[in-house]
Amino acid sequence: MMMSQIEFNQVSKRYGAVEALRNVSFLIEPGDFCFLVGASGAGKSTILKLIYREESASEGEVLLDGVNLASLSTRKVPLLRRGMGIIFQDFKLLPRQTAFDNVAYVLRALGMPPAEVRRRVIGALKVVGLLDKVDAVPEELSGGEQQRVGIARAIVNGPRLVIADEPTGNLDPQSSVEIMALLEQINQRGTTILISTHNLAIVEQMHKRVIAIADGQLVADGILNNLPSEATIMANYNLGT
Amino acid sequence: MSNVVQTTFANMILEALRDVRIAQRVMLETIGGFNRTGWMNVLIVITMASILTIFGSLFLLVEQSKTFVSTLGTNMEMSVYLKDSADINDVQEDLDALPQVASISVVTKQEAWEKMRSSYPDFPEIQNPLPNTIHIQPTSPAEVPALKQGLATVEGIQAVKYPFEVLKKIQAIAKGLSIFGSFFTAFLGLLTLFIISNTLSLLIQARGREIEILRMMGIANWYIRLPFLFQGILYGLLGAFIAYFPVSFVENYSLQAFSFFHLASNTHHLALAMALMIGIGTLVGGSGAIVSMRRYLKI
Repeated sequence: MMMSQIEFNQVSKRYGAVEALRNVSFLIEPGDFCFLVGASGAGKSTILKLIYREESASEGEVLLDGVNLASLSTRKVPLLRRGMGIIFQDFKLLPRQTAFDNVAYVLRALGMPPAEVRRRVIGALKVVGLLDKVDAVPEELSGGEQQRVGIARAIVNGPRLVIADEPTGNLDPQSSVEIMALLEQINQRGTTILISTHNLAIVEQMHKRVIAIADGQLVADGILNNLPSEATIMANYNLGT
Repeated sequence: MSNVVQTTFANMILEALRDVRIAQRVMLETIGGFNRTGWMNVLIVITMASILTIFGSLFLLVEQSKTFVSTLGTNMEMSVYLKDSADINDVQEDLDALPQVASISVVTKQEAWEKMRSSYPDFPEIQNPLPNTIHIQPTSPAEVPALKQGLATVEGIQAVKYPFEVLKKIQAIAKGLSIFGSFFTAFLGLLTLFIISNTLSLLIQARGREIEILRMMGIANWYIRLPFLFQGILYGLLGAFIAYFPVSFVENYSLQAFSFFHLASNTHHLALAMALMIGIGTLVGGSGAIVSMRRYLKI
């Protein structure tokens, strides 16, 4: 039997008296392309933080490739994160470094030989279509290009899982579509993609699996032909934002 | 089998090369930290060099004083003048029995008188006023107080001349310098630690976003921390290096000052002072970095 790549099992997360997640359960299989949707503050970011072990579950289990992340020591967290690529809404690029150096940073920190670093970085920048911008620093790049650098950095180490937290949140519609197409292309190579977003228009266009979260609860999970609007979700489940 | 050995050996070489590359990267990150710190580097290194100069100079002066007291003290004698009624042999036996006495030499009143007469041929013919004298070499200057007590128990002694008073004063000054130096070095050390800690804290806060990115990228915690630690330690080492010059000047100057007494040069004092300065510099710099990381670098 094939092991799920991500497994949430009755997961709750509390920050003091505030309950960010309540009994959330879902499975994500290897090679899935999955959207995590919900309003701001619904709990999407908390789910991602639990996956890359920025946070730990208050109750329930979060398993990655069958490993309960609660049992992972703090020392092993960097190792866990190196096995996945993370893409951020605000790109989180190192401001003084070129696109090449941003993508190469982790590989160099791991002591990879320079020739191998170059091969991989050029390969990743080629995938995201930025071979002509290798020497550009972030401020010389458009938002969409900066996000492409972020994607190249996320995939340069050949991760099996890429997590994207509102990757189109700071982008114009055209760039958003391009970024989604790029992530789909990466998914077609076998990489699992989990994207947190509240951009329902783009989710509807992609026609992929959707996990909908509202007020810390899972309210829908599946390939939705007619994705309920945020307002509909709120109304149907009587949940506020 | 040989293939397995070859593969293992090749892997070891590859791992060693990888470690070298990682070390290079950490050093580059450290240099980057210095670049970002800017002019504060100068202030920190000067402060560090100053405290190490003060510490090293006081240390050398105290050590030189100790050597001076020790060398001069072992060459000095106490003179015991006997009562006319005392039997010189009895007193000599009593003195020999004291454990603090290394050696004694007797100068009878006749010998002293003849020596004086030969030195001053025109001295008038009077009755010999000089007492029998016994010169005592103590086992060490430190034993003098005990010896003084021992002498008080010996019968027949009229007076004792102690040439150690000046040495006691030098010892007291050396002790005072040592205590003052320790407190002053500790105070300035804490001040430097505070400056380093605050500077690195500002650096960590300025790099907060960058550190967050590195954490998310799965960069090991030690890789993020080490450049800050190295930067703190390097402040200490640079400070010690700069402090070497004024401290070696103090070493030469103090040796010249004491050379009047024909004391041997103690070059190991400078080496010891340098070792301590490097140690204190490293400790203060490293501690400053650790304090700032504990406060601001949450990983």
